Amino acid sequence: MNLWRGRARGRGADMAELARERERLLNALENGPGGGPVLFRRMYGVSTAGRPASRPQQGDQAYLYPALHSLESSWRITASWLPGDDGVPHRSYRIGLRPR
Amino acid sequence: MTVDWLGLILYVGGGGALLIVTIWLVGRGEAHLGDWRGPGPGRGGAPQGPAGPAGQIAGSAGPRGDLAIAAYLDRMTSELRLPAADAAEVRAELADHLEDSIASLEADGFDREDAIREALGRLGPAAELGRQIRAAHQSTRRLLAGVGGGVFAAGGGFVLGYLGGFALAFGSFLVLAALGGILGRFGLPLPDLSTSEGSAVANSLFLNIILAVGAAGAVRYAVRTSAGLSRRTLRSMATFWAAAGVLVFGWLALFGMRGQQSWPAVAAALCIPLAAIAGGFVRIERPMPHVGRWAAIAIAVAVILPVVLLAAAGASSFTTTAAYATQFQESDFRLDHVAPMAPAAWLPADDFYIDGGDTDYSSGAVTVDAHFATSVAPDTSPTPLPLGPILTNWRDVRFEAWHAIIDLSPGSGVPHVDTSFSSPFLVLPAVVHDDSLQAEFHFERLRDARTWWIVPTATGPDGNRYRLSDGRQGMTAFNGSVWDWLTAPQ
Repeated sequence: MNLWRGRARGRGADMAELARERERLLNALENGPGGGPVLFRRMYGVSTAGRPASRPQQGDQAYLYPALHSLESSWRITASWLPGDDGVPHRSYRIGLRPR
Repeated sequence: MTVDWLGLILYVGGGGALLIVTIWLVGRGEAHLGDWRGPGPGRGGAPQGPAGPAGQIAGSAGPRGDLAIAAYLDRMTSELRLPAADAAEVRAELADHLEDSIASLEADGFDREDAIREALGRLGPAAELGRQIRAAHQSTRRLLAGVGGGVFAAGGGFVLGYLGGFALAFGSFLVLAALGGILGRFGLPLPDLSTSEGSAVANSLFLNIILAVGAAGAVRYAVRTSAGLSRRTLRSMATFWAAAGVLVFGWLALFGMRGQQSWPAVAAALCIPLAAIAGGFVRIERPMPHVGRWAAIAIAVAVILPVVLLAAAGASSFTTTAAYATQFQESDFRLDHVAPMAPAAWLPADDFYIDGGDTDYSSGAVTVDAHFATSVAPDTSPTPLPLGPILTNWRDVRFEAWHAIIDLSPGSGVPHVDTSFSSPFLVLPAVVHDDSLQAEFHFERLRDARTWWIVPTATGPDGNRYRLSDGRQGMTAFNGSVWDWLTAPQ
Protein backbone atom coordinates (compact mmCIF):
# COMPACT_ATOMS: atom_id res chain seq x y z
CA MET A 1 0.00 0.00 0.00
CA ASN A 2 2.80 2.39 0.94
CA LEU A 3 4.58 1.52 -2.27
CA TRP A 4 1.44 2.27 -4.25
CA ARG A 5 0.99 5.59 -2.43
CA GLY A 6 4.59 6.43 -3.12
CA ARG A 7 4.13 5.70 -6.82
CA ALA A 8 0.91 7.69 -6.92
CA ARG A 9 2.65 10.62 -5.27
CA GLY A 10 5.46 10.25 -7.79
CA ARG A 11 3.02 10.31 -10.68
CA GLY A 12 1.27 13.31 -9.19
CA ALA A 13 4.57 15.17 -8.92
CA ASP A 14 5.37 14.24 -12.53
CA MET A 15 2.00 15.54 -13.69
CA ALA A 16 2.41 18.78 -11.78
CA GLU A 17 5.89 19.33 -13.17
CA LEU A 18 4.66 18.49 -16.67
CA ALA A 19 1.82 21.00 -16.31
CA ARG A 20 4.28 23.72 -15.21
CA GLU A 21 6.55 22.90 -18.16
CA ARG A 22 3.57 23.19 -20.54
CA GLU A 23 2.77 26.64 -19.17
CA ARG A 24 6.40 27.73 -19.49
CA LEU A 25 6.50 26.46 -23.08
CA LEU A 26 3.31 28.30 -24.01
CA ASN A 27 4.79 31.51 -22.59
CA ALA A 28 7.99 30.91 -24.54
CA LEU A 29 6.06 30.30 -27.73
CA GLU A 30 4.30 33.65 -27.31
CA ASN A 31 7.60 35.12 -28.47
CA GLY A 32 7.58 33.17 -31.71
CA PRO A 33 8.03 29.67 -33.03
CA GLY A 34 11.03 27.53 -32.27
CA GLY A 35 12.40 24.06 -31.77
CA GLY A 36 13.08 22.27 -28.50
CA PRO A 37 16.59 23.73 -27.89
CA VAL A 38 15.47 27.26 -28.80
CA LEU A 39 12.45 27.11 -26.50
CA PHE A 40 14.53 25.73 -23.66
CA ARG A 41 16.93 28.66 -23.97
CA ARG A 42 14.00 31.07 -23.93
CA MET A 43 12.50 29.47 -20.85
CA TYR A 44 15.61 29.21 -18.71
CA GLY A 45 18.04 31.67 -20.31
CA VAL A 46 20.53 28.89 -20.79
CA SER A 47 21.66 26.93 -23.79
CA THR A 48 20.86 23.28 -24.15
CA ALA A 49 24.34 22.81 -22.80
CA GLY A 50 23.38 25.05 -19.88
CA ARG A 51 26.18 27.48 -20.41
CA PRO A 52 25.80 31.05 -19.22
CA ALA A 53 23.04 31.73 -16.71
CA SER A 54 23.00 28.67 -14.52
CA ARG A 55 24.64 25.33 -14.26
CA PRO A 56 23.03 22.51 -16.17
CA GLN A 57 21.34 19.88 -14.01
CA GLN A 58 20.78 16.22 -14.61
CA GLY A 59 17.26 15.70 -15.91
CA ASP A 60 16.40 19.39 -16.25
CA GLN A 61 15.22 18.74 -19.85
CA ALA A 62 13.32 15.59 -18.97
CA TYR A 63 9.93 17.30 -19.28
CA LEU A 64 10.75 19.43 -22.33
CA TYR A 65 9.72 16.98 -25.05
CA PRO A 66 6.90 15.26 -23.15
CA ALA A 67 5.40 18.72 -22.57
CA LEU A 68 5.87 19.77 -26.19
CA HIS A 69 4.28 16.59 -27.52
CA SER A 70 1.51 16.82 -24.96
CA LEU A 71 0.67 20.35 -26.12
CA GLU A 72 0.77 19.17 -29.71
CA SER A 73 -1.54 16.21 -29.10
CA SER A 74 -4.00 18.50 -27.31
CA TRP A 75 -3.99 20.67 -30.44
CA ARG A 76 -2.69 23.79 -28.67
CA ILE A 77 0.51 23.97 -30.70
CA THR A 78 1.58 22.72 -34.13
CA ALA A 79 4.90 21.22 -35.20
CA SER A 80 6.57 21.22 -38.58
CA TRP A 81 10.05 20.58 -39.87
CA LEU A 82 11.62 23.87 -40.98
CA PRO A 83 15.13 24.52 -42.21
CA GLY A 84 17.33 26.35 -39.68
CA ASP A 85 20.13 28.84 -40.30
CA ASP A 86 22.40 25.95 -41.21
CA GLY A 87 19.88 24.73 -43.79
CA VAL A 88 19.23 21.56 -41.81
CA PRO A 89 15.55 20.95 -40.96
CA HIS A 90 14.61 21.12 -37.28
CA ARG A 91 11.26 20.37 -35.73
CA SER A 92 9.75 23.73 -34.92
CA TYR A 93 6.69 24.50 -32.80
CA ARG A 94 4.23 27.36 -32.95
CA ILE A 95 0.96 28.22 -31.26
CA GLY A 96 -2.11 27.38 -33.29
CA LEU A 97 -3.58 24.49 -35.22
CA ARG A 98 -2.29 25.06 -38.74
CA PRO A 99 1.41 24.67 -39.65
CA ARG A 100 2.87 27.45 -41.79
CA MET B 1 -42.78 2.96 -60.32
CA THR B 2 -42.48 6.14 -58.28
CA VAL B 3 -39.10 7.36 -57.15
CA ASP B 4 -38.53 9.09 -53.83
CA TRP B 5 -36.09 11.69 -55.16
CA LEU B 6 -35.39 13.29 -51.79
CA GLY B 7 -34.59 9.90 -50.26
CA LEU B 8 -32.50 8.99 -53.29
CA ILE B 9 -30.50 12.23 -53.10
CA LEU B 10 -29.97 11.79 -49.36
CA TYR B 11 -28.92 8.19 -49.88
CA VAL B 12 -26.51 8.93 -52.71
CA GLY B 13 -25.20 12.09 -51.04
CA GLY B 14 -24.83 10.37 -47.69
CA GLY B 15 -23.04 7.40 -49.20
CA GLY B 16 -20.70 9.64 -51.17
CA ALA B 17 -19.96 11.80 -48.12
CA LEU B 18 -19.22 8.71 -46.06
CA LEU B 19 -16.72 7.47 -48.63
CA ILE B 20 -15.02 10.85 -48.98
CA VAL B 21 -14.67 11.26 -45.20
CA THR B 22 -13.45 7.70 -44.93
CA ILE B 23 -10.78 8.17 -47.59
CA TRP B 24 -9.60 11.37 -45.91
CA LEU B 25 -9.46 9.68 -42.50
CA VAL B 26 -7.71 6.61 -43.84
CA GLY B 27 -5.13 8.87 -45.50
CA ARG B 28 -4.59 10.72 -42.21
CA GLY B 29 -4.17 7.48 -40.34
CA GLU B 30 -1.90 5.89 -42.92
CA ALA B 31 0.49 8.87 -42.71
CA HIS B 32 1.48 7.71 -39.22
CA LEU B 33 1.76 4.01 -39.95
CA GLY B 34 4.24 3.72 -42.80
CA ASP B 35 7.93 4.49 -42.86
CA TRP B 36 8.75 8.04 -41.84
CA ARG B 37 10.20 9.70 -44.90
CA GLY B 38 11.82 12.55 -43.07
CA PRO B 39 10.67 16.17 -42.92
CA GLY B 40 9.50 16.31 -46.53
CA PRO B 41 6.74 18.44 -48.07
CA GLY B 42 4.10 16.06 -46.81
CA ARG B 43 4.97 17.12 -43.27
CA GLY B 44 5.11 20.79 -44.05
CA GLY B 45 8.85 21.01 -43.75
CA ALA B 46 11.93 21.21 -45.88
CA PRO B 47 12.17 18.91 -48.87
CA GLN B 48 15.03 16.82 -47.56
CA GLY B 49 15.44 14.52 -44.58
CA PRO B 50 17.57 15.30 -41.52
CA ALA B 51 21.07 15.67 -42.85
CA GLY B 52 24.40 15.49 -41.14
CA PRO B 53 25.05 14.03 -37.72
CA ALA B 54 21.42 14.20 -36.63
CA GLY B 55 20.45 11.83 -39.38
CA GLN B 56 23.33 9.57 -38.50
CA ILE B 57 22.57 9.68 -34.78
CA ALA B 58 18.90 9.00 -35.48
CA GLY B 59 19.93 5.79 -37.18
CA SER B 60 22.42 3.83 -35.20
CA ALA B 61 25.95 4.60 -34.15
CA GLY B 62 27.41 7.67 -35.77
CA PRO B 63 30.72 7.85 -37.53
CA ARG B 64 32.49 8.71 -34.28
CA GLY B 65 31.26 5.67 -32.50
CA ASP B 66 28.45 7.40 -30.60
CA LEU B 67 27.20 4.09 -29.31
CA ALA B 68 25.92 5.64 -26.10
CA ILE B 69 23.62 7.97 -28.07
CA ALA B 70 22.36 5.16 -30.26
CA ALA B 71 21.79 2.97 -27.23
CA TYR B 72 19.93 5.81 -25.47
CA LEU B 73 17.72 6.44 -28.50
CA ASP B 74 17.10 2.71 -28.94
CA ARG B 75 16.00 2.38 -25.32
CA MET B 76 13.80 5.47 -25.58
CA THR B 77 12.26 4.27 -28.86
CA SER B 78 11.52 0.84 -27.43
CA GLU B 79 9.31 2.47 -24.78
CA LEU B 80 7.46 4.68 -27.23
CA ARG B 81 5.15 2.02 -28.65
CA LEU B 82 3.91 4.50 -31.23
CA PRO B 83 3.15 3.90 -34.90
CA ALA B 84 6.34 3.53 -36.92
CA ALA B 85 6.31 6.96 -38.55
CA ASP B 86 5.71 8.76 -35.25
CA ALA B 87 8.40 6.78 -33.46
CA ALA B 88 10.90 7.57 -36.22
CA GLU B 89 10.01 11.26 -36.08
CA VAL B 90 10.40 11.45 -32.29
CA ARG B 91 13.74 9.68 -32.59
CA ALA B 92 14.91 12.12 -35.28
CA GLU B 93 13.81 15.11 -33.20
CA LEU B 94 15.68 13.93 -30.11
CA ALA B 95 18.74 13.11 -32.19
CA ASP B 96 18.58 16.65 -33.52
CA HIS B 97 18.29 17.98 -29.96
CA LEU B 98 21.26 15.90 -28.81
CA GLU B 99 23.34 17.11 -31.73
CA ASP B 100 22.61 20.72 -30.77
CA SER B 101 23.28 20.05 -27.12
CA ILE B 102 26.54 18.18 -27.73
CA ALA B 103 27.81 20.83 -30.15
CA SER B 104 27.17 23.55 -27.55
CA LEU B 105 28.93 21.60 -24.84
CA GLU B 106 31.90 20.90 -27.08
CA ALA B 107 32.06 24.62 -27.86
CA ASP B 108 32.26 25.20 -24.09
CA GLY B 109 35.30 23.00 -23.87
CA PHE B 110 33.80 19.61 -23.02
CA ASP B 111 35.43 16.72 -24.73
CA ARG B 112 33.18 14.55 -26.89
CA GLU B 113 32.52 11.80 -24.36
CA ASP B 114 31.74 14.19 -21.51
CA ALA B 115 29.50 16.26 -23.75
CA ILE B 116 27.51 13.17 -24.74
CA ARG B 117 27.21 12.04 -21.12
CA GLU B 118 26.08 15.51 -20.04
CA ALA B 119 23.57 15.91 -22.88
CA LEU B 120 22.02 12.50 -22.24
CA GLY B 121 21.88 13.07 -18.51
CA ARG B 122 19.89 16.26 -18.94
CA LEU B 123 17.15 14.43 -20.85
CA GLY B 124 16.75 11.98 -17.97
CA PRO B 125 16.48 8.19 -18.12
CA ALA B 126 15.76 6.97 -21.65
CA ALA B 127 12.96 4.61 -20.66
CA GLU B 128 11.20 7.27 -18.60
CA LEU B 129 11.51 9.80 -21.42
CA GLY B 130 10.03 7.27 -23.85
CA ARG B 131 7.12 6.55 -21.50
CA GLN B 132 6.43 10.26 -20.96
CA ILE B 133 6.43 11.01 -24.67
CA ARG B 134 4.21 8.02 -25.32
CA ALA B 135 1.74 9.25 -22.70
CA ALA B 136 1.82 12.68 -24.31
CA HIS B 137 1.02 11.24 -27.73
CA GLN B 138 -1.60 8.75 -26.64
CA SER B 139 -4.02 11.25 -25.16
CA THR B 140 -7.67 10.52 -24.49
CA ARG B 141 -8.62 13.10 -27.10
CA ARG B 142 -6.63 11.26 -29.75
CA LEU B 143 -8.10 7.95 -28.61
CA LEU B 144 -11.60 9.31 -29.10
CA ALA B 145 -10.61 10.72 -32.49
CA GLY B 146 -9.16 7.32 -33.37
CA VAL B 147 -12.29 5.44 -32.35
CA GLY B 148 -14.53 7.88 -34.23
CA GLY B 149 -12.31 7.74 -37.29
CA GLY B 150 -12.21 3.97 -36.98
CA VAL B 151 -16.00 3.77 -37.13
CA PHE B 152 -16.05 5.83 -40.32
CA ALA B 153 -13.17 3.82 -41.77
CA ALA B 154 -15.01 0.60 -40.90
CA GLY B 155 -17.97 1.81 -42.93
CA GLY B 156 -15.80 2.62 -45.92
CA GLY B 157 -13.79 -0.58 -45.49
CA PHE B 158 -16.99 -2.59 -45.45
CA VAL B 159 -18.11 -1.00 -48.72
CA LEU B 160 -14.76 -1.69 -50.36
CA GLY B 161 -14.66 -5.21 -48.93
CA TYR B 162 -18.23 -5.79 -50.06
CA LEU B 163 -17.28 -4.91 -53.63
CA GLY B 164 -14.12 -7.00 -53.41
CA GLY B 165 -16.12 -9.88 -51.98
CA PHE B 166 -18.63 -9.59 -54.80
CA ALA B 167 -15.83 -9.78 -57.35
CA LEU B 168 -14.29 -12.74 -55.49
CA ALA B 169 -17.58 -14.62 -55.18
CA PHE B 170 -18.59 -13.91 -58.75
CA GLY B 171 -15.18 -14.98 -60.05
CA SER B 172 -15.26 -18.12 -57.91
CA PHE B 173 -18.65 -19.12 -59.28
CA LEU B 174 -17.47 -18.53 -62.83
CA VAL B 175 -14.44 -20.74 -62.17
CA LEU B 176 -16.64 -23.39 -60.55
CA ALA B 177 -19.05 -23.30 -63.49
CA ALA B 178 -16.17 -23.77 -65.91
CA LEU B 179 -14.75 -26.52 -63.71
CA GLY B 180 -18.15 -28.20 -63.54
CA GLY B 181 -18.36 -28.20 -67.32
CA ILE B 182 -14.96 -29.83 -67.61
CA LEU B 183 -15.60 -32.39 -64.85
CA GLY B 184 -19.00 -33.18 -66.34
CA ARG B 185 -17.31 -34.36 -69.50
CA PHE B 186 -15.44 -36.89 -67.39
CA GLY B 187 -18.55 -38.06 -65.56
CA LEU B 188 -17.86 -36.08 -62.38
CA PRO B 189 -20.62 -33.45 -62.24
CA LEU B 190 -20.68 -30.75 -59.55
CA PRO B 191 -23.86 -30.31 -57.46
CA ASP B 192 -26.85 -29.12 -59.52
CA LEU B 193 -27.53 -25.46 -58.72
CA SER B 194 -30.56 -25.20 -60.97
CA THR B 195 -32.89 -26.74 -58.37
CA SER B 196 -34.60 -24.46 -55.85
CA GLU B 197 -32.56 -25.92 -53.00
CA GLY B 198 -29.33 -25.75 -54.96
CA SER B 199 -29.85 -22.16 -55.96
CA ALA B 200 -30.78 -21.23 -52.37
CA VAL B 201 -27.51 -22.73 -51.14
CA ALA B 202 -25.55 -20.97 -53.87
CA ASN B 203 -27.21 -17.63 -53.12
CA SER B 204 -26.48 -17.95 -49.40
CA LEU B 205 -22.85 -18.88 -50.05
CA PHE B 206 -22.54 -15.96 -52.45
CA LEU B 207 -23.91 -13.50 -49.90
CA ASN B 208 -21.86 -14.89 -47.02
CA ILE B 209 -18.62 -14.71 -49.02
CA ILE B 210 -19.36 -11.06 -49.80
CA LEU B 211 -20.15 -10.28 -46.17
CA ALA B 212 -17.07 -12.13 -44.90
CA VAL B 213 -14.76 -10.08 -47.13
CA GLY B 214 -16.70 -6.94 -46.18
CA ALA B 215 -16.26 -7.73 -42.47
CA ALA B 216 -12.53 -8.30 -42.93
CA GLY B 217 -12.25 -5.01 -44.83
CA ALA B 218 -14.21 -3.12 -42.19
CA VAL B 219 -12.07 -4.33 -39.30
CA ARG B 220 -8.83 -3.85 -41.20
CA TYR B 221 -9.64 -0.25 -42.14
CA ALA B 222 -10.83 0.47 -38.62
CA VAL B 223 -7.64 -0.90 -37.06
CA ARG B 224 -5.25 0.97 -39.29
CA THR B 225 -7.11 4.26 -39.24
CA SER B 226 -7.73 4.30 -35.50
CA ALA B 227 -4.12 3.28 -34.78
CA GLY B 228 -2.84 6.11 -36.94
CA LEU B 229 -5.20 8.71 -35.51
CA SER B 230 -4.81 7.66 -31.87
CA ARG B 231 -1.03 7.08 -32.19
CA ARG B 232 -1.30 3.54 -30.91
CA THR B 233 0.27 0.40 -32.24
CA LEU B 234 -1.64 -1.67 -34.75
CA ARG B 235 -1.66 -4.76 -32.55
CA SER B 236 -3.13 -2.94 -29.57
CA MET B 237 -5.95 -1.53 -31.68
CA ALA B 238 -6.46 -4.84 -33.50
CA THR B 239 -7.61 -6.54 -30.32
CA PHE B 240 -10.28 -3.91 -29.68
CA TRP B 241 -11.57 -3.80 -33.24
CA ALA B 242 -11.50 -7.58 -33.66
CA ALA B 243 -13.66 -7.88 -30.55
CA ALA B 244 -16.02 -5.20 -31.87
CA GLY B 245 -16.08 -6.92 -35.27
CA VAL B 246 -16.94 -10.26 -33.71
CA LEU B 247 -19.81 -8.66 -31.79
CA VAL B 248 -21.24 -6.74 -34.73
CA PHE B 249 -20.68 -9.26 -37.50
CA GLY B 250 -21.30 -12.21 -35.19
CA TRP B 251 -24.69 -10.74 -34.34
CA LEU B 252 -25.35 -10.09 -38.02
CA ALA B 253 -24.35 -13.63 -38.97
CA LEU B 254 -26.29 -15.33 -36.19
CA PHE B 255 -29.42 -13.22 -35.90
CA GLY B 256 -29.41 -10.45 -38.48
CA MET B 257 -29.76 -12.31 -41.76
CA ARG B 258 -33.04 -14.11 -42.25
CA GLY B 259 -33.97 -16.27 -45.16
CA GLN B 260 -33.51 -19.75 -46.52
CA GLN B 261 -30.75 -21.60 -44.71
CA SER B 262 -28.71 -24.74 -45.26
CA TRP B 263 -25.75 -26.33 -43.53
CA PRO B 264 -23.21 -24.99 -46.08
CA ALA B 265 -24.74 -21.51 -45.78
CA VAL B 266 -24.71 -21.70 -41.98
CA ALA B 267 -21.06 -22.78 -42.01
CA ALA B 268 -20.22 -19.88 -44.33
CA ALA B 269 -22.16 -17.44 -42.12
CA LEU B 270 -20.22 -18.56 -39.06
CA CYS B 271 -17.02 -17.74 -40.95
CA ILE B 272 -18.03 -14.05 -41.09
CA PRO B 273 -16.92 -13.19 -37.52
CA LEU B 274 -13.76 -15.26 -38.10
CA ALA B 275 -13.07 -13.15 -41.19
CA ALA B 276 -13.46 -10.05 -39.02
CA ILE B 277 -10.77 -11.38 -36.65
CA ALA B 278 -8.49 -12.25 -39.54
CA GLY B 279 -8.98 -8.76 -41.01
CA GLY B 280 -7.69 -7.27 -37.76
CA PHE B 281 -4.59 -9.39 -37.37
CA VAL B 282 -3.43 -11.03 -40.60
CA ARG B 283 -0.69 -8.94 -42.23
CA ILE B 284 -2.12 -5.84 -40.58
CA GLU B 285 1.24 -4.08 -40.97
CA ARG B 286 0.84 -3.99 -44.74
CA PRO B 287 -0.22 -0.52 -45.94
CA MET B 288 -3.70 -0.05 -47.32
CA PRO B 289 -4.01 0.46 -51.07
CA HIS B 290 -4.39 4.07 -52.06
CA VAL B 291 -7.94 4.95 -53.11
CA GLY B 292 -8.18 8.13 -55.14
CA ARG B 293 -11.06 10.51 -55.74
CA TRP B 294 -12.26 8.92 -59.01
CA ALA B 295 -12.03 5.47 -57.53
CA ALA B 296 -14.26 6.68 -54.68
CA ILE B 297 -16.81 8.04 -57.13
CA ALA B 298 -16.78 4.78 -59.09
CA ILE B 299 -17.22 2.83 -55.87
CA ALA B 300 -20.10 5.04 -54.78
CA VAL B 301 -21.88 4.52 -58.09
CA ALA B 302 -21.17 0.78 -58.07
CA VAL B 303 -22.55 0.39 -54.55
CA ILE B 304 -25.48 2.73 -54.56
CA LEU B 305 -27.00 2.07 -57.97
CA PRO B 306 -27.53 -1.68 -57.53
CA VAL B 307 -29.07 -1.09 -54.10
CA VAL B 308 -31.52 1.42 -55.54
CA LEU B 309 -32.40 -0.87 -58.42
CA LEU B 310 -32.80 -3.88 -56.16
CA ALA B 311 -34.99 -1.91 -53.78
CA ALA B 312 -37.17 -0.91 -56.70
CA ALA B 313 -37.44 -4.50 -57.83
CA GLY B 314 -39.10 -5.51 -54.55
CA ALA B 315 -39.09 -8.75 -52.62
CA SER B 316 -40.14 -12.18 -53.73
CA SER B 317 -42.12 -14.81 -51.89
CA PHE B 318 -40.76 -18.15 -50.87
CA THR B 319 -43.82 -20.31 -50.17
CA THR B 320 -45.79 -21.87 -52.94
CA THR B 321 -48.84 -24.05 -53.07
CA ALA B 322 -48.52 -27.10 -55.19
CA ALA B 323 -50.36 -27.30 -58.49
CA TYR B 324 -52.20 -30.46 -59.24
CA ALA B 325 -51.48 -32.56 -62.19
CA THR B 326 -54.47 -32.49 -64.48
CA GLN B 327 -55.03 -36.26 -64.62
CA PHE B 328 -55.06 -38.20 -61.38
CA GLN B 329 -56.98 -40.61 -59.17
CA GLU B 330 -57.40 -40.16 -55.44
CA SER B 331 -55.33 -43.24 -54.80
CA ASP B 332 -52.41 -41.46 -56.47
CA PHE B 333 -52.17 -39.22 -53.42
CA ARG B 334 -51.34 -42.31 -51.31
CA LEU B 335 -53.29 -40.82 -48.43
CA ASP B 336 -54.26 -44.25 -47.11
CA HIS B 337 -50.66 -44.37 -45.92
CA VAL B 338 -51.70 -41.69 -43.41
CA ALA B 339 -55.04 -43.19 -42.38
CA PRO B 340 -58.08 -44.69 -44.11
CA MET B 341 -60.85 -42.31 -45.10
CA ALA B 342 -63.53 -41.91 -42.46
CA PRO B 343 -66.68 -43.98 -43.18
CA ALA B 344 -69.45 -41.83 -44.63
CA ALA B 345 -71.81 -43.07 -41.91
CA TRP B 346 -69.87 -41.14 -39.28
CA LEU B 347 -69.81 -37.92 -41.30
CA PRO B 348 -72.78 -35.59 -41.89
CA ALA B 349 -74.82 -36.53 -44.95
CA ASP B 350 -74.82 -34.20 -47.95
CA ASP B 351 -72.20 -32.02 -46.32
CA PHE B 352 -68.60 -31.71 -47.33
CA TYR B 353 -65.39 -30.86 -45.64
CA ILE B 354 -63.56 -27.73 -46.76
CA ASP B 355 -59.79 -27.57 -46.32
CA GLY B 356 -59.44 -23.87 -45.81
CA GLY B 357 -56.39 -22.03 -44.72
CA ASP B 358 -53.80 -19.53 -45.73
CA THR B 359 -50.10 -18.80 -45.82
CA ASP B 360 -48.64 -15.72 -44.16
CA TYR B 361 -45.96 -14.73 -46.64
CA SER B 362 -44.20 -12.40 -44.21
CA SER B 363 -43.64 -15.02 -41.53
CA GLY B 364 -44.11 -18.20 -43.57
CA ALA B 365 -46.73 -19.58 -41.16
CA VAL B 366 -49.29 -21.93 -42.66
CA THR B 367 -52.71 -21.73 -41.02
CA VAL B 368 -55.39 -24.35 -41.34
CA ASP B 369 -59.00 -23.25 -41.07
CA ALA B 370 -61.25 -26.16 -41.93
CA HIS B 371 -64.97 -26.60 -41.57
CA PHE B 372 -67.96 -28.58 -42.78
CA ALA B 373 -70.53 -26.95 -45.00
CA THR B 374 -73.72 -27.77 -46.77
CA SER B 375 -73.75 -28.03 -50.52
CA VAL B 376 -75.16 -24.87 -52.02
CA ALA B 377 -75.87 -23.50 -55.43
CA PRO B 378 -72.96 -22.40 -57.62
CA ASP B 379 -71.63 -18.86 -57.13
CA THR B 380 -72.74 -18.71 -53.51
CA SER B 381 -70.56 -19.15 -50.47
CA PRO B 382 -71.10 -22.35 -48.48
CA THR B 383 -72.45 -21.86 -44.99
CA PRO B 384 -70.32 -23.50 -42.29
CA LEU B 385 -72.13 -25.93 -40.05
CA PRO B 386 -71.81 -26.06 -36.27
CA LEU B 387 -69.20 -28.63 -35.33
CA GLY B 388 -70.78 -29.81 -32.10
CA PRO B 389 -73.17 -32.40 -33.60
CA ILE B 390 -70.61 -33.53 -36.18
CA LEU B 391 -67.86 -34.23 -33.69
CA THR B 392 -69.99 -36.37 -31.41
CA ASN B 393 -68.61 -39.36 -33.32
CA TRP B 394 -65.04 -38.18 -33.15
CA ARG B 395 -62.38 -37.46 -30.58
CA ASP B 396 -58.73 -36.47 -30.63
CA VAL B 397 -59.16 -34.40 -33.79
CA ARG B 398 -55.76 -33.30 -35.04
CA PHE B 399 -53.82 -32.15 -38.10
CA GLU B 400 -50.93 -34.33 -39.19
CA ALA B 401 -48.15 -32.88 -41.37
CA TRP B 402 -46.52 -35.51 -43.55
CA HIS B 403 -43.56 -35.21 -45.88
CA ALA B 404 -44.76 -35.12 -49.46
CA ILE B 405 -43.24 -35.50 -52.88
CA ILE B 406 -44.27 -32.53 -54.95
CA ASP B 407 -42.73 -31.73 -58.28
CA LEU B 408 -44.14 -28.73 -60.08
CA SER B 409 -42.09 -29.16 -63.21
CA PRO B 410 -44.02 -29.92 -66.42
CA GLY B 411 -44.69 -33.57 -67.02
CA SER B 412 -44.04 -34.58 -63.44
CA GLY B 413 -46.22 -37.01 -61.57
CA VAL B 414 -49.10 -36.40 -59.20
CA PRO B 415 -48.00 -35.02 -55.82
CA HIS B 416 -48.34 -37.60 -53.07
CA VAL B 417 -47.51 -38.40 -49.49
CA ASP B 418 -43.94 -39.66 -49.11
CA THR B 419 -44.52 -43.25 -48.07
CA SER B 420 -40.91 -43.72 -47.01
CA PHE B 421 -41.88 -42.06 -43.72
CA SER B 422 -43.94 -44.08 -41.27
CA SER B 423 -45.13 -41.14 -39.18
CA PRO B 424 -45.95 -37.46 -39.57
CA PHE B 425 -43.16 -35.02 -38.90
CA LEU B 426 -45.44 -32.65 -37.05
CA VAL B 427 -48.80 -33.11 -35.34
CA LEU B 428 -50.94 -30.29 -33.98
CA PRO B 429 -54.24 -30.74 -32.15
CA ALA B 430 -57.13 -29.08 -33.90
CA VAL B 431 -58.42 -26.05 -32.06
CA VAL B 432 -62.17 -26.53 -32.19
CA HIS B 433 -64.27 -23.40 -32.66
CA ASP B 434 -68.02 -23.21 -33.20
CA ASP B 435 -67.83 -24.00 -36.89
CA SER B 436 -64.17 -24.53 -37.73
CA LEU B 437 -61.07 -26.54 -36.90
CA GLN B 438 -57.93 -24.48 -36.77
CA ALA B 439 -54.18 -24.90 -36.37
CA GLU B 440 -51.08 -22.94 -37.26
CA PHE B 441 -48.00 -24.67 -38.65
CA HIS B 442 -44.56 -23.06 -38.73
CA PHE B 443 -42.84 -25.16 -41.36
CA GLU B 444 -40.53 -22.22 -42.03
CA ARG B 445 -38.87 -22.96 -38.68
CA LEU B 446 -38.20 -26.62 -39.49
CA ARG B 447 -35.01 -27.59 -41.32
CA ASP B 448 -36.49 -30.46 -43.32
CA ALA B 449 -40.17 -29.64 -43.83
CA ARG B 450 -39.84 -28.38 -47.42
CA THR B 451 -42.80 -30.21 -49.03
CA TRP B 452 -45.70 -31.04 -46.76
CA TRP B 453 -49.18 -32.51 -46.75
CA ILE B 454 -51.52 -31.61 -43.90
CA VAL B 455 -54.21 -34.22 -43.24
CA PRO B 456 -57.00 -33.85 -40.66
CA THR B 457 -57.49 -37.06 -38.69
CA ALA B 458 -59.57 -38.15 -35.74
CA THR B 459 -60.30 -41.25 -33.74
CA GLY B 460 -63.64 -42.78 -34.64
CA PRO B 461 -66.21 -44.68 -32.51
CA ASP B 462 -64.37 -47.96 -33.19
CA GLY B 463 -61.16 -46.59 -31.68
CA ASN B 464 -59.32 -46.42 -34.98
CA ARG B 465 -57.87 -43.26 -36.49
CA TYR B 466 -59.32 -42.03 -39.77
CA ARG B 467 -58.67 -39.10 -42.01
CA LEU B 468 -61.51 -36.62 -42.32
CA SER B 469 -60.51 -35.35 -45.76
CA ASP B 470 -57.65 -35.27 -48.25
CA GLY B 471 -56.14 -32.17 -46.64
CA ARG B 472 -53.89 -29.73 -48.43
CA GLN B 473 -50.29 -29.64 -49.48
CA GLY B 474 -47.57 -27.15 -50.32
CA MET B 475 -43.91 -26.25 -50.09
CA THR B 476 -42.23 -24.05 -47.51
CA ALA B 477 -38.54 -23.31 -47.36
CA PHE B 478 -36.84 -22.66 -44.05
CA ASN B 479 -37.05 -18.96 -43.27
CA GLY B 480 -35.07 -17.70 -40.33
CA SER B 481 -31.72 -16.75 -38.98
CA VAL B 482 -28.67 -18.95 -38.54
CA TRP B 483 -29.55 -19.14 -34.85
CA ASP B 484 -33.07 -20.32 -35.75
CA TRP B 485 -31.51 -22.98 -37.97
CA LEU B 486 -29.11 -24.18 -35.28
CA THR B 487 -31.84 -24.36 -32.65
CA ALA B 488 -34.55 -25.76 -34.97
CA PRO B 489 -36.22 -28.92 -33.60
CA GLN B 490 -35.22 -31.01 -36.61
